[in-house]
Order: sequence, then C-alpha cells, then structure tokens
Amino acid sequence: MTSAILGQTGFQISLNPFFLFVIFTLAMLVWGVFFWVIRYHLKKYGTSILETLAMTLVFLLGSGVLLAGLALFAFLYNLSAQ
Amino acid sequence: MIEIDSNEKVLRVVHKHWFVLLANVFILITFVFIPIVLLFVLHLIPFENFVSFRGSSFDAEAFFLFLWLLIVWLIGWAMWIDYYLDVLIITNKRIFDIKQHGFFKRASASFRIDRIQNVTVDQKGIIQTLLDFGTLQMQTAGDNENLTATHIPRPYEIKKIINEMQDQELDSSQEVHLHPATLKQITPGAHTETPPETP
Repeated sequence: MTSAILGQTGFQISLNPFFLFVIFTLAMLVWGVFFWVIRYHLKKYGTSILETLAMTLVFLLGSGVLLAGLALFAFLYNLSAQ
Repeated sequence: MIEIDSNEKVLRVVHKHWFVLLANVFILITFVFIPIVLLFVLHLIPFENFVSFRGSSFDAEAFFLFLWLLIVWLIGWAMWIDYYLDVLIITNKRIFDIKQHGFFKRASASFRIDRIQNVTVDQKGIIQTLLDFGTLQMQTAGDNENLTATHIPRPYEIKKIINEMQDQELDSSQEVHLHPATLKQITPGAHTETPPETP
C-alpha cells in the first residue's frame, strides 16, 4: 500500500554514492559527540577505573565494527555505481 | 569518581538489579529486528519503487542496515549509562544515593551513617522475592529526609552492612580518650609511657 501511494505521487530519491558518504560523515560526527559524552560521564562519575576502561573498550570495538561496515558498504556501493 | 574524605573507605557500590535492564534489552532486540523483518521477510518497503539506485541495491540496503544498527547501538549505550551511573555507594561514614536520568540530569544525595535511624527493606511480589531484590528505605534523624533506593539487589545484606557500620560509629562515638596526664591523675599507678591506642 505504501509503495502504491508513493508510486502514484511519483516520488523518487536518486541514491548516489555521494549521498551515502554524506550520511557516513554525519554518522561519524554523531558518534564522535556521543563517544565524548559517554567518556566524560564514565570518567567523571564512574565508580571503578577498570570497569570504565572495559566499557570504553567494548564501546570502541562495537562501534568500530559498525562504522567499518558502514564505510565498507558505502565504498562497495560507490564501486558498483561506476 | 565521587569525592570522599581521605579517611573514608568505600565498602560497597550497589547498582540496580539486572532485572531493571530486561525491559531495555527487549526494546533493543525489537529495534534490531525491525528493519530485518521489514526488508527481508515482509517486503513491506519495496525500495525500488521510490529509490533509484545508482549501484548495487544490496550494498545500499546493507549500508542502511548498518546505520540502523549503529543507532540502536548508541541507544543501547545511553540506556546502559543511565543504568550504570544510577548507584548507591556505602562508605564507612556515609551513604551516597546517585540518580542518573539520561545524560544531562543527575541528582546526588549523601546521608551520614550515624544520622540514619531506621532502615527498612520492602520486597514485593514473586519476582522480587525469587530474584532477591527490593526497595531500601532509610530514615534520617531530625529533618524528615528519607532515602529510597529501588531495585536494590540483596537488600537484606545491604541492610546488615549499614547496621554494622551504624554500630561501629556508635561504639567509636562512645569511646573516651583521655590525655596521659589526666589518666595519671585519676589512676596514680598507671604507666603513662605507653599512651592508650587511639583508633
């Protein structure tokens, strides 16, 4: 039904590789701000240095995997578009 | 880190029971599966109809899936920080009750152990009883200030620690330390070379 409505309106987005890279840059910016806020909270209000370090490590590892996935598929999309 | 006196010792750091996190975990799991269900099972969003792909549609979908997972990951961390920083810290002199609401709202209260008059534990229902968590309420002397900490794991153990610390504080406040000269006056035979130990 959604597609039918969108089809009638003739609404179409052209998804070029540059758009994905813009989204990736925005995601990196948001992630950077979030990381800064989390690090600030853990450093200032955390109750154990070891726990704080472990949490920071887990956050960086998980984020690294997701951001690497984003970058990889943006790159692959760019390759397939050429 | 919390600011405590140099002669103050942290006895216990109490986070809320993990059961509190369960609701958040279910929300996150649902969030993770929403796009997967929509994209690959139900085909409710046929992107091809309103998005013209310049490259491989699989790569674009995978990109947005990773973007969604990143958003869920960040929401999960916001939930975890909210949980982790909500804490009850028991020292040998005071109890700190720190309540974190989101990233930018934080309330911290501290109560002296020797001012606490009454500690009550409230466990309601089968889940709280079986998983051993509940509400800890402390009433302080004088000003009608109460400390209420909810979802505290092993509340009876915490109550016991607080009671023990109260007893120690009471004992130490009742000890009389005399100057060696005064001691010599009241007990002429006493040796003043070795003054009584002070805790």
